[in-house]
Amino acid sequence: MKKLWLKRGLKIFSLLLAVLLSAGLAQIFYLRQFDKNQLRMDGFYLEEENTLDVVILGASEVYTGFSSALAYDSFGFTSYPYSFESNPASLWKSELKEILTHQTPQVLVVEINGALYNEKDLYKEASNRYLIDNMPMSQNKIDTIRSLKSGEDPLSYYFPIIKYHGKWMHVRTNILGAIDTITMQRRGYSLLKGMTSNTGHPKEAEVMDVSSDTSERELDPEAEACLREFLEECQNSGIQQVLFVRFPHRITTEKEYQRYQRSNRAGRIVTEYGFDYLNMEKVGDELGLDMEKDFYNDEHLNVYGQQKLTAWLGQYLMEHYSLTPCALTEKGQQQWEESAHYTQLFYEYFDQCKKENSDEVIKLKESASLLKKLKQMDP
Amino acid sequence: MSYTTIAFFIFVAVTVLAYYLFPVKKYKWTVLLAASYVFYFFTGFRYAFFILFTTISTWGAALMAERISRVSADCLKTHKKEWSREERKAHKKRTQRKMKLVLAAALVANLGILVFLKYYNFLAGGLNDLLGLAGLEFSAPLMKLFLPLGISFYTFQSMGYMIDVYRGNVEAEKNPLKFALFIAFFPQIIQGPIGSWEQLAHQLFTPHSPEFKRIQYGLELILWGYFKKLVIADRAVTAIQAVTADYTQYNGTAIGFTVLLYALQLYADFSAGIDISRGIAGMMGIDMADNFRRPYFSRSINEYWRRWHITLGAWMKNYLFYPLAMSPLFLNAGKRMKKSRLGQTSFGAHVAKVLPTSIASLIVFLMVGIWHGANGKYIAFGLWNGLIIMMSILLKPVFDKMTGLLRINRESGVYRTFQMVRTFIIVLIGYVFDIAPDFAGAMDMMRRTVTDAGLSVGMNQVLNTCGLLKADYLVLLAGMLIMLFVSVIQEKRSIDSIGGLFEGKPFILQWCAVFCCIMSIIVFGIYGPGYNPADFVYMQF
Repeated sequence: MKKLWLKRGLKIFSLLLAVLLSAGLAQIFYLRQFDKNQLRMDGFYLEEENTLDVVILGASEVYTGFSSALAYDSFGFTSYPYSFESNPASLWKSELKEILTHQTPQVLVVEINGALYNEKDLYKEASNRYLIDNMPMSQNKIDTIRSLKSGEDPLSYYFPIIKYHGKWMHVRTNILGAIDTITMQRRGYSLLKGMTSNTGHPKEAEVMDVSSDTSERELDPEAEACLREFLEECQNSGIQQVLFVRFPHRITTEKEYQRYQRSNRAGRIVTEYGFDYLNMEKVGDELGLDMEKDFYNDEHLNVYGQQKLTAWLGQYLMEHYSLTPCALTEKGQQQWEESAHYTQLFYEYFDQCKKENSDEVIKLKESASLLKKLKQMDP
Repeated sequence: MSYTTIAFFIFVAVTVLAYYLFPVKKYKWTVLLAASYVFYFFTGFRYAFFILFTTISTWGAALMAERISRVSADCLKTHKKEWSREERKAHKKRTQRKMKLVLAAALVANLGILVFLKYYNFLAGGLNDLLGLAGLEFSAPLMKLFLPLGISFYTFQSMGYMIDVYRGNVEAEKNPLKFALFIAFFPQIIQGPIGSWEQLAHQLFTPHSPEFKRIQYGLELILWGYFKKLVIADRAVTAIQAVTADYTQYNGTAIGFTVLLYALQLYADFSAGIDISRGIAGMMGIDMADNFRRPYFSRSINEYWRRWHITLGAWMKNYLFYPLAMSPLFLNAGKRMKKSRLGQTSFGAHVAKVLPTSIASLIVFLMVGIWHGANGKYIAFGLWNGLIIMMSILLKPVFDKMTGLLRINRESGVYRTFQMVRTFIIVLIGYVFDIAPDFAGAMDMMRRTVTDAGLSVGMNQVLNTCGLLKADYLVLLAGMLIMLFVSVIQEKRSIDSIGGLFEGKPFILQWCAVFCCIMSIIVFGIYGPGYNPADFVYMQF
């Protein structure tokens, strides 16, 4: 009798184990959201703990506008964009905790775009997923899930397969995504440090000159509350230097102008709390940006603008925050140098592509296929 | 509390555990009662009044009918020697009348609620149309009515019990709580099966101990149900809804394909719900009546209705068909015809013999149609099935003669296949009424399948505008083949339970099948954020 029950127990246990293993593996390697945001976030967690001098928190402006590897190459400090598409201020508190759990940056740079959203954009499921899906399990992750607005399915944040199981049919995307992820995991770090870029140009339009415009517009009340909560969190977190920034944009429409006005308001709130605010919309000339050639669209810099902004902001951080690059291990240094090298190759690849076909817009992100091409270029 | 929510899984797990761990064996059934009412209140609190009314009124009426019968029998016994035969006859008649009154009151009250909530607006609309045609200005007001969860099922179940008590087939239950459990037992409340007191009640009240095999079979049945529901039915429903939302945008081939898809979806959905319900009950040692026996293998429409929604068919047969067919009116009609000139011919004699049965069948199917919903299309659906059955009964000698003349071997594989295909096509025509917006729409859909049947245009529409990708169709095809494979084995080996398929087979085979089923549900199931699992089709009835 005992033997019979033991046998039955074993059968059930083996079945459950097989299901859990299969579902778990599928969730990690196939049924998930593979994209540039996921790779960038994964890359952050691969960085050796307490080795980043600067962490930049923000939305898509950040990883298209600033290249960490190029900054390392030029100034010697290490940095990483903790950023993803449409990163809203409602998630910043969780992100700050996440950053400070893994790193002790000398400067935290926060791009304030996420505080300029309306209520709907503040609580978009897609944004929540970019963050939470890619956070390792921790109390902070649980707290973030618990803080989600009602209407969200919390269980699917703990078990993303509930959300993403329908992706089984996207075979090519999933396999390529899995290859990129595994390649990066095996390498142990993100080669391009989360940066993506492209060679496009915006449509022709008259760009407003806002360099001396200080007019303000109220933030969405929810967004303002989130921003203030985040500012208080920054004050309490013990982080010494926080720089709030506004990355350059092309202001060509009334809507964009209103957003600019909101950014001025956000800047004022930031300074009320005693933090620095740098509005790069107003230093376009210093940056040397060409409004027609250095943007991909009104909101994002292209590959040329990225290099200019990285050079300028890197210099600014060095000068204003007395950055002293942290001591890296030999392995760490090697990795950063390799990153810098490949980033240079990345820019060269852009130039080469542009020469071959000047009209084509080339969009690139860290991927196994790109790295293969870059390796071929490597002398 | 939908079957496809985590809350439901937890609810079922807690109920099963509580049932088996309940310390007082005699009162284990109270766990089921409590769970059933918790389920009902969570699913639709505002409906509770109706189920309570049906429970109390039926329980009271049944007791009253039984009391009348008992008192009458006692009285007869006491006065056996004093009363003349006529007096005894008169007494029996009085008793019968009283019992009939009680039965009628229970039927009118309970079926009245069902009819009012489900059909009032339909009847009022029809009446208004008639009055309008007659040029009268009066119009019956239309009302915003809601349909309590499972009302058709629990009303039929309670009325079946009431009639059984009236007929003296079962004893009236004295404990109102036990009767409340019979009516509200949670696995059956959403979409049946419609249980009979004789088959279900004693199982509910008998304390069951956990049995490994029963729990295993129950879980396997639940799993199979979820596979059919989440992988097949809820996937197919997207395309069906896309086409039926505006069928005029689709050509005949696309409409025909949708009807086929509906046949798959309806069977997968309804049988899945029943499997899940039976699986849950089975885990607690309760065998609920099965509602399906591979209906699409039927060789006649008559057989189809003995295999599809079996418990509704059985209810209609017991409580409507027999009373009608055996009624003096119907029997006399047959007799009158037999005496007529037509009745003297051999065909006429056959017609006279089967006339009561065939007319009763037509009425029963008309009622089945009306049971499905308050819409002309459902009446047409019922009439379509009823007429086919009526014709098959009436014209049986003609068909027999034809097969004889053509020297057809009725048991040959080819003929059996022909019969199955023919029956399936008749069923599909009936389904057009189901998916069409109304009767006129159904007719138009059928017309289009004949007059506008461009294959390439239709397939293009199916593949590109129905909301499903090619991969979805592949899953549907695979799912259908798996269902077919399982059905063929069940049919060949006369196995009704899914767990029974693996009886005597190597353990690894069963292990693999269960593993694949679970993984298929996880990966291919329609659930989670971004998906909208459909309600069970029969919930609406």
